[in-house]
Amino acid sequence: MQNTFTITTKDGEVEYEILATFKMEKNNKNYLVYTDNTYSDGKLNIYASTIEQGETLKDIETDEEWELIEKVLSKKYIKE
Amino acid sequence: MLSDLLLVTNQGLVQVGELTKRKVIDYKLNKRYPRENIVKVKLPPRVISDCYVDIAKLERKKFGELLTYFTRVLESNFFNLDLDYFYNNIKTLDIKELRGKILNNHVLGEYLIDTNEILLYTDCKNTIYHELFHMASSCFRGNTAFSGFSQDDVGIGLDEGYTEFLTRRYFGKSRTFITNYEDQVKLVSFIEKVVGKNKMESLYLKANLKGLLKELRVYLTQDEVVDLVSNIDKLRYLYGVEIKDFSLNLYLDYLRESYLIIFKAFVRKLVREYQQTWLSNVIIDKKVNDFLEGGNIRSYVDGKTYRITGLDDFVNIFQEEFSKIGVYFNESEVRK
Repeated sequence: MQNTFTITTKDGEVEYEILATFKMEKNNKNYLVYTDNTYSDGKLNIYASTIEQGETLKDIETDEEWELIEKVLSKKYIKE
Repeated sequence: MLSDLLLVTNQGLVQVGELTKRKVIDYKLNKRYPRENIVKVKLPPRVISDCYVDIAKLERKKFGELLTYFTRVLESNFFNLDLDYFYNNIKTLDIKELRGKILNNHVLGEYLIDTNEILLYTDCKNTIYHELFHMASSCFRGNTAFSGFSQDDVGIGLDEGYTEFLTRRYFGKSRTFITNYEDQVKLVSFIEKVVGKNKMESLYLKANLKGLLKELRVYLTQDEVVDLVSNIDKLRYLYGVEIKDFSLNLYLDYLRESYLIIFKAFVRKLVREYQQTWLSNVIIDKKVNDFLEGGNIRSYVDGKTYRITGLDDFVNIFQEEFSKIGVYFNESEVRK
């Protein structure tokens, strides 16, 4: 299963690993959480965006959304 | 592909599509976008199809307004995870109007899974929502066609009943079948009370007949489940052809047997709940009343009313099933 995607810029193509995708019922937005597998001070760099129109990544706008992303990553409250 | 994970937070429900198995402990969440001057983002197809309907493109299609409205209703009422087949099929769906060509059995529309087409035989627009539900719940797995609760030729009665039930729930009454959908719709509404609304809707949209039967098998024997599904299929067949005297009794028998099986499923579920957490008579009473909604079940065939089953049958089943665990209710208590 393909677990990566690419972002192409003027400097070239970079591959990212998808860590999570989810949808928030409240605002009906779709989120993508990903990493380029680089590290800062020994910590994995993780990024998050909303997906629009299936091909555009937009910045996360609110603290509430960032809080949610942390919860998803922590997997603490997930009910199967 | 995707896991059924729900995250309940104070921001409401979050439906998690994918979650890496990787343990993510020491991380830095960068709030700035990782790249400048982005030319292109190439996401995996499944991520795109999970969450994207080109509404602008949909609006330009024939019946665009209805398609868009259907999309919005689905996305507002169902989780993304349940809409895989919808997202997959809506992109290439074709709708053809074939007015004046009503089939012999008075069908006003049909969804063809092989070609992903909806054929409309009249200008009855309500029909389209019914067929769109078929489209939203259909797929091929190998060479086998799965559509809602039908798998090849099995479960068609269940599928048509539940498709119409959902159409009415979210869009009002359609008129796909001129003859009669009422009995099938009523039957599936009772089945839903046993299985649960969210569960049954999810199983339907994922074309998971097997999953539905598994849910029913918790309370019914294998034979009872097989009889239930095949009885409802036979109802559809019998009502698809013109009901004549010789087939009317058969039709009513199958209908009655179906209800009795569903009653058994419900009561056995109640018995289990009673065994797990003691239920007061008040709670049992409420559950039974909510389930039965009045008690007597009737069918309307060719302008005549036939009593199919009612409180008497339910009471018998209730007493029989509870007596198996040594709990006895007298008739007047049950009838209350």
